[in-house]
Amino acid sequence: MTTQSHARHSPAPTGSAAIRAVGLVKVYGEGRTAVRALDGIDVEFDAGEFTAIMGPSGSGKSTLMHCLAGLDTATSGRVLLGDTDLTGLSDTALTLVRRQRIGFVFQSFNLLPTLDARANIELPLQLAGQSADPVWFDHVVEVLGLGDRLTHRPSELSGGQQQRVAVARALVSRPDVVFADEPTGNLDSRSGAELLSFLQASVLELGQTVVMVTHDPYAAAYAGRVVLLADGRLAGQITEPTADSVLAGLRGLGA
Amino acid sequence: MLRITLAGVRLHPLRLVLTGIVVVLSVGFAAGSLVLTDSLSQAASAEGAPKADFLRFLLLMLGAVSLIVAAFVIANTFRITVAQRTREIALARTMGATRRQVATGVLIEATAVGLAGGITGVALGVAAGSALGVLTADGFYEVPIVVSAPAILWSLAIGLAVTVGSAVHPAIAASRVAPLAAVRAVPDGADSPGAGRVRVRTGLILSAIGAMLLMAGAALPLAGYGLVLVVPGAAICFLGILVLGPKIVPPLLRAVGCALAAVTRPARTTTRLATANAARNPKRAATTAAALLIGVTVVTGFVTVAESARSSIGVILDQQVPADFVVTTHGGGGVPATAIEAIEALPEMGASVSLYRTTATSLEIGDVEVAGLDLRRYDQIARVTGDGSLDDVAAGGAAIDDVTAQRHGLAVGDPVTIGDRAFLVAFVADLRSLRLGGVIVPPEAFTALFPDVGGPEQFAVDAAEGVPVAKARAAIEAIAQELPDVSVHSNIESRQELNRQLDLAVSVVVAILGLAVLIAAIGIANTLSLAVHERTREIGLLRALGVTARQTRAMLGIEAVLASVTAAVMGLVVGVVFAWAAVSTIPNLEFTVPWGRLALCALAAGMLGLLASAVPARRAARLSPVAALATE
Repeated sequence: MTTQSHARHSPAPTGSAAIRAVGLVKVYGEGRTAVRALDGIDVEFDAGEFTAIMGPSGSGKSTLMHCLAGLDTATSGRVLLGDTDLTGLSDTALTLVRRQRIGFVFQSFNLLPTLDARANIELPLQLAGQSADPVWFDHVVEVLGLGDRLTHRPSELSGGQQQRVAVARALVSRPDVVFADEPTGNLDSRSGAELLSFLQASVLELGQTVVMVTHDPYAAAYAGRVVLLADGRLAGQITEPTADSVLAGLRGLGA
Repeated sequence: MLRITLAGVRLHPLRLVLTGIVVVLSVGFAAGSLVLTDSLSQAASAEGAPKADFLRFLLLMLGAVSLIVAAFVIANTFRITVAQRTREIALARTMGATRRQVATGVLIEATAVGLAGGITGVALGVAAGSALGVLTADGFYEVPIVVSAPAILWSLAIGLAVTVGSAVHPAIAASRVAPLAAVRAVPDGADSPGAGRVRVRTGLILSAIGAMLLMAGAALPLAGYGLVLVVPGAAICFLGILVLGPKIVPPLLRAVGCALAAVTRPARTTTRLATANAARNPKRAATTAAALLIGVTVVTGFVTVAESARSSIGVILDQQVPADFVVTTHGGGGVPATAIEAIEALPEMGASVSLYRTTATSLEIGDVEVAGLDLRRYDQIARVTGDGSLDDVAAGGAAIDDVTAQRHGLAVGDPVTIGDRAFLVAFVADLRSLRLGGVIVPPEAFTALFPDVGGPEQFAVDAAEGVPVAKARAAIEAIAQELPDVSVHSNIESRQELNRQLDLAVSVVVAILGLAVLIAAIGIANTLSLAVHERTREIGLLRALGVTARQTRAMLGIEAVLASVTAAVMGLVVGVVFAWAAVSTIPNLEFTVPWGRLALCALAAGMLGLLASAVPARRAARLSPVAALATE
């Protein structure tokens, strides 16, 4: 884990995988009612890369994200976060991995209603008994334009501001990977575009690794690469995506 | 509407089970008490003995405490479920359910719980009451078990009334849910802003009136009638505190949480989260606390008054020299001089004193108790405090107690005439130290004044230093046995006997009040399990962000402990204040706070809180983050 934290500080050379899945299978249910949500997925996400996972509903994109992020365990196959194999870890060990090495931005309900913005941002670090690097904290907060919102409760923030607080929380601990699950799903298009620019900037300027699940081709166009999923299998990828090329790719899946 | 009710039943089965248990416990106690006292009264009247009316009164008063606590728990449960079902209710309203139908739905559920819990409670109560009745019976004393229809019907009716009555306010709240709430985002379990102005004003006025009555009863010299002011004062004051609850409880919770966070450094974040959760919903927190507050206040008040009584037993063992042994006689003529000489000669004996007593008329005072007593010898057994000189009394003066002195305006140097002899007051004794009222003169003066009285009424003697009481007692009894009509009793032993009886009474009452505390703990478990349900997504988020299953469990455990300890601390403070007021109204009673027992009480409350959190906390820890995040 120490080598990982070292890697976090120096921009990782492109080509080295921050996280990868090998032969990942996830089966829900048993016997005849069993559903193979993931059916043998091999995929890599490079450090410092912004990747979007796309696919029609039921393609398994959320399940893939949950397994990659250590929120769910795969039926078989392996998930490697750097050198750490997540597949064999206990619940507590997985939790600690999430706390220390993974950042999350969910579609909604990202923040604890009882904590103000600052406490929400610092929560994962506080859980680990650490405090945020003040310079880095101020930088992230400034970039996200949250400086005057830190003492506000989530109920006093707009939807866009709430999502930005979530992004700040995901970035402030400099995780190995940030997972964003439909981060703009509940936002108006302007706030959505703003948020995606922040995510993009965190990759381009700060060397952060971001994996985003989305069904919105315009959102996916912010990524450096789009991974397409259909029926729990990898169905191709698009590098340097545009909204049009993503739409075309999705159409090719029959979506 | 019934269908919606049933859907709700499926939604949180645990809540209904716990609410049912609360009804079972409180109704069961009432039914059991009625059956037991009916049976005992029947048995007593068969023997011409007095009925068990006092026991019945006591049990029903204690049962009322449990019922009140139960009402709080039930009301809170229904209020929380209504809040959680806001969307569901609003949906029913959009589809044409009337306000009345919505309210009826809640009341139907309450009736079902009240009936089911009530019937179970009556059955268990009757069984327990009968069993106790049978246990009371022995070879001489037959107890026929009387299970009367009124006892059963009353218990059932009370259970139903408490359950449905507690659900009325939540039912009204449910009927006020607007159809539009179905589409509006529901705030995360937050209810209306805690305390309105009216509430604060009402609460403050009630507390102030109550406190004034309490103080007046405690401070005014009402000769034992102060309780008439103190009891209603305490009740009104307590009501004020309950009304102010939503304003008082959250800051207290935060304060206790802060203190706990300082102690539990490694778990500080968990503690902070728990504190925020405990205080996030002022009304809910206040009602949860109120249930426990009632129980703890009553227990504390009772234990403190009992402890004060215990420490004042010496005062209550009135008119007796506080020596280890007191020798008295049943026949006339007082304790024979031979006995006194023989006892004084024993090597096991230490300081001793004789007490002569009679009633006489004094010119200055009127009818008064007159004692012949060597105060210097008495002083060696029990320290006498007051103004003046004991030597002057021995030289032919008189001593009077301070209460008599005050009442008749007498001081050192004033004359007191008894019979045909005038004494000068040489000492004004503190009644608390002397325990003897009236005029005290030297024994020689007494025997000269009242030659008919004969020997001393009491001869008091201490065991010599270092001699065990049991050994001294054996020696003194050997002498007493040879003399007719002379008996020895040990102050220490009667004190121990009184202590034992007091301990027994305290244990029984505290055990019964423990039922109320148990019900309050179930209330905490219930509130917490509903909170877990309500905060499923939040818990999922926390788990995703790196809160371990263990920390989740700890978080809920701490939340429950905070709730219970805060309520307990409030109850301890309020209970001690009430007890102080009550004790102040009774002359001769010395206010004593049983710190050890009270600390134990707070500890027990904390443990109960932790226990109450066990099931909901385990459920929360088991939530899978993915599933929890996906819930609506």
